[in-house]
Amino acid sequence: MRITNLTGISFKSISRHLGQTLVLAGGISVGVASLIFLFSLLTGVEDTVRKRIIEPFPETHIRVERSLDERKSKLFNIDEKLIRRMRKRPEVLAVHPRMKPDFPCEIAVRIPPKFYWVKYPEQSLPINIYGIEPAELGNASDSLRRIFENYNPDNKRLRVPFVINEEFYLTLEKGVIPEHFPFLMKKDFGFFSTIKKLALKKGSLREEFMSWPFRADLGASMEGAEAKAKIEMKLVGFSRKVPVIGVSVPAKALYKWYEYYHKRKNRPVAYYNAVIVAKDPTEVGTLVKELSAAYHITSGKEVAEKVTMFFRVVQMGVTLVGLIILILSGVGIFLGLTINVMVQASRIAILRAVGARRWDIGFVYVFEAAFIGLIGGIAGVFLSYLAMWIADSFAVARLPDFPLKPETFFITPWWYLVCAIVFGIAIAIAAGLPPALRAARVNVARVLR
Amino acid sequence: MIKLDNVTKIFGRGKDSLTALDHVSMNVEEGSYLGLSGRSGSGKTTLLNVISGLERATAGNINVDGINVQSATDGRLAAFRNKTIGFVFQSFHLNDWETALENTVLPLLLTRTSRSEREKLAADVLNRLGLSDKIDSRVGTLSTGQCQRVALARALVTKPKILLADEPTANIDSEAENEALNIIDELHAGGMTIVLVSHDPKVLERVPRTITIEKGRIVKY
Ligand SMILES: Nc1ncnc2c1ncn2[C@@H]1O[C@H](COP(=O)(O)OP(=O)(O)OP(=O)(O)O)[C@@H](O)[C@H]1O
Ligand SMILES: [Mg+2]
Repeated sequence: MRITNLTGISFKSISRHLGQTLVLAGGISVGVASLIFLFSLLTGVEDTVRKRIIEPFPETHIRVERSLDERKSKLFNIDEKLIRRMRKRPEVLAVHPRMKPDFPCEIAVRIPPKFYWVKYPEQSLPINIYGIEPAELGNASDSLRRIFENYNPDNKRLRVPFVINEEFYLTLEKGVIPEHFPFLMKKDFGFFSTIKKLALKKGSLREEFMSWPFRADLGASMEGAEAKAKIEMKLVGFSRKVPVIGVSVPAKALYKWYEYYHKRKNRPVAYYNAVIVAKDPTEVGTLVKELSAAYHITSGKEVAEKVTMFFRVVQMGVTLVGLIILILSGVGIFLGLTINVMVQASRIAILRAVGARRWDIGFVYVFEAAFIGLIGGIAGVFLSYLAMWIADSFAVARLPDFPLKPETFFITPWWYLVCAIVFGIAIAIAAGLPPALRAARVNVARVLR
Repeated sequence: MIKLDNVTKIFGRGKDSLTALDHVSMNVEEGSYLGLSGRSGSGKTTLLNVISGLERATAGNINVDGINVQSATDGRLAAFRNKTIGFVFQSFHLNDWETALENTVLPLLLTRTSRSEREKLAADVLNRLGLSDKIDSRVGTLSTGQCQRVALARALVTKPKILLADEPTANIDSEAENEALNIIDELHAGGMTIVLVSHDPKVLERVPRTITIEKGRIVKY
């Protein structure tokens, strides 16, 4: 009862200084909004990074390759022996060697003539080709794995199956063409623009795409070298487990391509790199220690730690910035309420004279501050959503499209909103305390002379 | 009802200190009507403030309606000012932007009275003081005499045992003054203890007993 009456007194004071109240709440709302905005941005970016970098390469994974210098001269010197040795280790779950042809290679596609807008009936693209073991496709794609396992390189009538990265495909489907590949854009590659048109026209490209005849031109290069061999290929599916930019074929197919290209039988098998999957993250340390003597090692654990570290540091900076903004708006509240208390000294004194305790007077002003904080906090939530919407649409319009570009750069869990509002109110109360104390200490007799 | 024992109030310290009350002792019986006279600056307002606990005395004992004003806590004093004492200030101290009713209701906001009851009590007092047609007028638009009655209404709305009135008639014309004094007479007849400060002999003529203060001392009892 008494409390409601006191809040009533606060509201009267608030409504008498409505303009001032709104300005002060505006200050808090900017602080709250920037906290929400910055944290949502950070969370969104971190989520993207985790999905694109850490999830495909988790803690149990170790990538083994030669050092950069060595790679220049000998690209394929992770040899079969290391792979076999590692596969025998009890702490190793799987080893995924990965190959790349060591000669120029382009992929050509014959786009069916029913699409009349195709200017170029056949296009070749220099593109990364990876040879992968079927196991590397993961559990999610059993049928794809079976196709890869059952592929027989000696059967001339079979076309070579390949997969492309699911997420890359999805961006193609969205009509997003990788403008950040300047070398692809320099020449007019009708292939990508055709895909873009098809994607935009058809909605889903999947079935259409899989019916197209592709061909690997071994030895063909952008510089004009002629193909030494032409191999028919068929797109059999999409997987999240394969490299993002490029196509992945069964390792067996690549061995065969070496024979075609180098005209040599029994070329010793060697790999470009290998991913070793430990059974348990705790085993990673010993494996890394052992392998790093001879190889360049990247472990998922280390990547995760670096990424996490990076984001924690940025998070601290962001928190600091947000808090500084909030504290500045708190200073505004402090000044505003102090002026209120000075102006309202006689009103305060009258209240005290007719029976208000010091505590009651303090409460009136703390409540006023808290109310400003609440209004500012709620306004800040709306403001932050507005800012995020503007930033997202700005980014969509201005940033070049790139594969895997996220739909939004912001992720806002509900508790960010709660925390930001609570912070706003807390700062407002903290800023309101000194003026409230001042009000409680008003010298009644002197003011009422 | 009001008992002061060797009460001294000194403002400031050292060279600049000023003794506003100098060993004041007095006794006001329950239901009595006391006038307080003295020149400007003699300490009349200070005496009222010390009685109501708005000002803490430097030395001495003050007992009002069984409460030791000197040693009471802030909460106790607040309740005491709210329930036992009605205060009419020298220059009214009303909130100009609020209505007569809102001003009158103020002391009840600090009690457990419901909104409707509060407004009924306040309206009753205002009616009794002849302000029935001004209840919802902003105080800023009222005449000085009407403001004076609003101030009196605010003092009376909690039905206090003691009314402390500091120059209640100083700023109003003689007709309004007469009306105000008639109301105070009625309150006195109703059993209220009243202390009225004035330096106007005309006003003090109507008060049964008057004491005079000079430089903080009671000189005529
Ligand atoms: N807060 C204060 N600080 C310093 N001096 C004060 C304070 N309050 C009152 N005084 C001084 O105490 C003396 C008594 O003041 P008080 O207000 O009680 O006089 P008064 O009798 O009510 O005069 P008036 O008739 O003019 O209202 C004055 O000299 C005044 O200047
Ligand atoms: Mg005075």
